[in-house]
Amino acid sequence: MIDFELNGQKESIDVPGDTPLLWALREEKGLKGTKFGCGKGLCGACTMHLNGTPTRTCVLPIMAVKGQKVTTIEHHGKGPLHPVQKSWIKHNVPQCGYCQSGQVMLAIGVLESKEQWTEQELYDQMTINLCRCGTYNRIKLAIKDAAIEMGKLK
Amino acid sequence: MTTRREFIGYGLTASGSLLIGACKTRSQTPGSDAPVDGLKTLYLEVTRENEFFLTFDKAEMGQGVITGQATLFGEEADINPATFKMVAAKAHEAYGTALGHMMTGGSTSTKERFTLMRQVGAAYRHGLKRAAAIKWKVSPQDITTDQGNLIHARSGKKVPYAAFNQQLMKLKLDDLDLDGISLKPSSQWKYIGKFNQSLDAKDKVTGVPEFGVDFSMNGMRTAIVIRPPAFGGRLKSYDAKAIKALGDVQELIKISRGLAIVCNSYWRCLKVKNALTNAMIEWDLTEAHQQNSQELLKSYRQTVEAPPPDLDKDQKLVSAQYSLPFLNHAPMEPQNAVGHKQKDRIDFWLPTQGPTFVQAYCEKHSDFNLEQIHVHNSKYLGGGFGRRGQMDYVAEIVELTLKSETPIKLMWSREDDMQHSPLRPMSVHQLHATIGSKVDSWQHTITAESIMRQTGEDLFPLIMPSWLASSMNGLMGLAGVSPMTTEGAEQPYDLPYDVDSIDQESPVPVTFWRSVGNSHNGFVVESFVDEVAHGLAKDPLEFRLDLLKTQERARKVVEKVALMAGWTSYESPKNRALGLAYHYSFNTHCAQIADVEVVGETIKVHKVFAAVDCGIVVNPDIVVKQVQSGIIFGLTAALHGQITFNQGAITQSNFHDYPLLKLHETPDIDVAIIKSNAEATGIGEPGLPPIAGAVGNAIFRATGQRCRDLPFQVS
Repeated sequence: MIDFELNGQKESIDVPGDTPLLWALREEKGLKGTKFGCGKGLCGACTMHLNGTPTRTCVLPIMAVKGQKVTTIEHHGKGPLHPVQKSWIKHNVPQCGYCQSGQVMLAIGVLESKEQWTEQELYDQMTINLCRCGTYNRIKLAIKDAAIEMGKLK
Repeated sequence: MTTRREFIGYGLTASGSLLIGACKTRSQTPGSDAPVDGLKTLYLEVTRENEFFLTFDKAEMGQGVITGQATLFGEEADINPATFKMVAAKAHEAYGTALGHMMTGGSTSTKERFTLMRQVGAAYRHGLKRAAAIKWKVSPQDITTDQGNLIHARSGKKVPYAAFNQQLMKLKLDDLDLDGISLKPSSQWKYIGKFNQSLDAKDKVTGVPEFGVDFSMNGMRTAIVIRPPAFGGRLKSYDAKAIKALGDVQELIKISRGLAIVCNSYWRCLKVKNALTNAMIEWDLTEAHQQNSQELLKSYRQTVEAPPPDLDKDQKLVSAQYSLPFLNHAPMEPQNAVGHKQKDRIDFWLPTQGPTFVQAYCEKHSDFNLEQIHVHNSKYLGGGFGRRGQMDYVAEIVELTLKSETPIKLMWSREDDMQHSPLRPMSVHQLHATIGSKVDSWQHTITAESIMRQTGEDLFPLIMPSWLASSMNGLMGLAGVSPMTTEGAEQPYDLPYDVDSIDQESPVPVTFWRSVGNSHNGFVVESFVDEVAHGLAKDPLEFRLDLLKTQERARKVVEKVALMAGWTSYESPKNRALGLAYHYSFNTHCAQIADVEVVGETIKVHKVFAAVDCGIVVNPDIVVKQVQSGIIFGLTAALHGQITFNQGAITQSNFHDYPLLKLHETPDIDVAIIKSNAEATGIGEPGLPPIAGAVGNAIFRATGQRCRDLPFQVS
């Protein structure tokens, strides 16, 4: 039994400790907002926050999150939208949308990790997540706008 | 244009929702006791609370089709597109467009649905006005509508559409032949060409949408399939005891495409797969693909070698050979499907571009009849690009479902998708042009494995009567051409085209990949046009405009993009230049200019300008996004993409060795849409074909190196 904090609530999952967090949440808890893209930590579709830091969960054994705080896209779907999500909607970023949970979680994690960003620094952070539809031009517009909205653009 | 007569029909559900669909014959039109089943297609459900559920019969895979269809319907029904709740149509031949089949591909959705969606929307609004006129005892002319409400201004009445759900059923519907319904002139459009939202944006940034991979049901088990290491291989034998000892294996199911490992979760399946050793499964590879890419390329090159034509004394020859590799589609959502067999029905839930193909396949390979086969397309597909029109994973889920006593989910890993998927065919192109003062001959020979031949063998027998399938295949054989291989090789340029194709036959499955033949011919033709212009010492822009003298729409996009990029005034820094390309595909014209710098062995695409004419535009923002998407997809192919074979097996396995373009490599992309009143045409694909040519032409102008093989390598 692995105990951790999930989206602000206590959570326990009874799976082998080497089960990746992504699959433990998708298959045991039915939390499917986070997607599976490559299984090797290469694409970022599975990005969640581990103690606030964007983390690739298709290669993160669940035993590593024991006692830690995990946040998923579902956390940002319930209440008011995060400025990143508002900006993503304003700029119509998604196409097929499959990678976007990961993109949004990466953007939120990046923006919240530091007070001030240059545009280029933001792009450098966002380049690690893949999008086959090629929404990159819109991601750039949207994260810049979100940074402005959050008062974080240098 | 509707391709056949359609009649509107209404139905009422027990809960009081109005259903609106289309019927094929007047006799099916429900006038009184509307049998809901009489509606062969369902387009709209209006609940008593005035919510509008609009059915979309095309697959939403990122191209924005749900927004487009809602915009078209909302325009005529006077319902704000943003308020529709969109529902995926269940597979039924009545929605069919291609030979009676539901198929999303070829950038056809907006073109095919442009009239029908508006007609059904208009029929609904006309019907409402008549129903209200009868009830209010006023003339229908005095009734107006506004975003889901009927209004009679003189009496101050304003009533939601849903209040007339019952009344609509009672109307005599004699005059509702869809082709007889008048539609708004474009000058009165409120939404078409103006509505710029994407209906699914909010869902997709909150983790809400259900993709195929998210589907599950009670009692469902998960399967992954171990497939032969090379195409054409077969499962010979396996050590069940040893495999079962590797983990929590519930069952091993032998299917024609390999061995399925069945567990109660994907992760458990994957653990077993990763622990397999070669000794546990034996393959029969006698008919399997054996070749290495290097040898294959060499033999393709020999195939197309043709002697150049004889020259007159004032002519000179321009010759070149181009090559493009096999490519994987790599949609972000790996292939998946769920099946559930019961005594008198069988259900499938899966992301597919061809829902009725799935029905047809299952009917052919089981004892179930069409009425018993229920195919539920996923609301959202995590990318398509042609991959999800394929029958390989369909064959697997059908066989697994028939052999499984429980509902079963088929999951492909990324490695499975990279190594066992049908591919964009490799091709080699030989071109010879003789030039004097102009181009006197243009000879283009292409060799590639024929998509059409393979489709003819696999899909035609499923989707058309056997006499038609065999005569289609016979005709293509007689003509000796592979239409997908040569697609896009003849462009609107005034050139004396002589295009030929030579088929290759191997066990490698090839298929439709975003823009299909245009994906290679766009690059080849545009590169060679520049080579010929160079031979004639002409500017690439002027040369193209000369060849497009009588082609007004083509000229306009070329002129526009040249203006955008400042082609004539551009001063080229060292190792940096602009490259131009134009391509016509899916009835759409697109011209692009790439601003490219070459630094050592690195190709840096700084900026891309694109001008596109796709006729009437339904959603301008989506058009821009699709052009950007096509360019980025094409840049991945131009700069990175290749699938290679080593002794018949695919070398690449995941995104580390089949890299996609990343954000930091992505140029800014300016897109201009040419205003047009012509028919709405394709936009999901036409942005792709020009980009590799534009980049290659820029590299040549920047460095003098002519790169004729993709992916590009500079030295």
